[in-house]
Amino acid sequence: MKSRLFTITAALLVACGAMAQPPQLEKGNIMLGVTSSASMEGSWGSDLMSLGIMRTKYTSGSDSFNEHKARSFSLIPKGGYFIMDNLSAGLQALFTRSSLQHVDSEGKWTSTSSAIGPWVRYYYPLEELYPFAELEVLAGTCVEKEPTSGPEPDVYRYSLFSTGLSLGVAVPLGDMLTFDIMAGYLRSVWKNKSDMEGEEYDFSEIYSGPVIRMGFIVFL
Amino acid sequence: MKEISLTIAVLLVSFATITAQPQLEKGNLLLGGTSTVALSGSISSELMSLGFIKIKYKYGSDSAEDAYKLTSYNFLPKAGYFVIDNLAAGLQAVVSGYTEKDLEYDETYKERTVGIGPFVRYYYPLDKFYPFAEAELLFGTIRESWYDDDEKTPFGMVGIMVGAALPLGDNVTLDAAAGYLRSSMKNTDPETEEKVFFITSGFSFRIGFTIYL
Repeated sequence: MKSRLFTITAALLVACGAMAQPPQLEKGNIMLGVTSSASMEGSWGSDLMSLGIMRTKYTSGSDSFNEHKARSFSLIPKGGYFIMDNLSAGLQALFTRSSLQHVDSEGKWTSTSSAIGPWVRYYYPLEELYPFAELEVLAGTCVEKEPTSGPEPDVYRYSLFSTGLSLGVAVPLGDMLTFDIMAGYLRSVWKNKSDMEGEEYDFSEIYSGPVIRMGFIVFL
Repeated sequence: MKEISLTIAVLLVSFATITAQPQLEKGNLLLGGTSTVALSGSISSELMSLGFIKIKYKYGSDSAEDAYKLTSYNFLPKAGYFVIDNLAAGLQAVVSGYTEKDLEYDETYKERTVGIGPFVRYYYPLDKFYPFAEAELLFGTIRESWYDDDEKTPFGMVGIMVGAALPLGDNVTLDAAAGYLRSSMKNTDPETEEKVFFITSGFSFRIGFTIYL
């Protein structure tokens, strides 16, 4: 892992050499990116938005079996506005829906997640790099439905609350683009109501720890 | 879904009014993130991420108990080179790993996905946007270990897409592409020792950013 990080750092230094005019961090500009999903489970891919209308099946020799229809949609935008020089604030959102249905069955497994939250980022621009600090909050819900042998599916509802504090460096790659590396601490809490021996109680699943991320930010 | 489509359409039209010209000329570089639409798994949304996460369970008013320790990483680079004007060719890769240690039973599950493959994209530049066609291949393995079991699953993916790139400046485009993807994972049935393939195929639509240097 260390050698990979060194390789990435070396690539960054090369990228620094290719710098053009720095992006504008001035009041009134817009920032665009992709919402981070680093500390949450899910298969949301690497695209800003994706839609898949797929079929899955197993084949062995000339036989095929266990064929399913698989649908997935994800939208993970992040947008912000420079409310003053060097300080941008905005919203990030996450909407995902996936379903899986056996071709010979009525029952369908579905999972729908939606979340939205604010973030704020302050840049301290140096000559060649822009160090920054970022605070982010994301809140939302997830609903999972599982088919049963009866007419009604089992429904599981979760609420999500995620917070993060990161420090990073933005490397300008042109007048509208930076390559960002950030390290920070993220904490996500998934909560639901569980039932044990007829008694309902709150159950929380807490994800927390340090995270390193890299990505691109577009300035308009 | 209709509202989302309308919002995206309005955004695309707004972006189209921004006039700038990324260079599609021989010798330039193209960078992006590898799409993971057709591969299942918890592959995050960044070009690269690394996390050391602890999971705790909290029941009612009891104090939270440590349950799992997760280590996860992913690296989804895609880079190409304009071999002639308007034609970029390059490599895309997926490197992702996930380790989950059960803190109560001291058991560990590991999963690692490594894939690499070529892509080629041809642009047909118009005044305000650049239609393109792209073909991509990705080959690799998913390695899982659980208790003493260690399983290796080779996979292959092929995709053909057509799309349009909207310039957002001198070196960024917002890309929308639609096409057909097919991935196949190969396993061996432990009882019959026959080869079993898990095939995912179908239509995909995706939007992302591409960088030009």
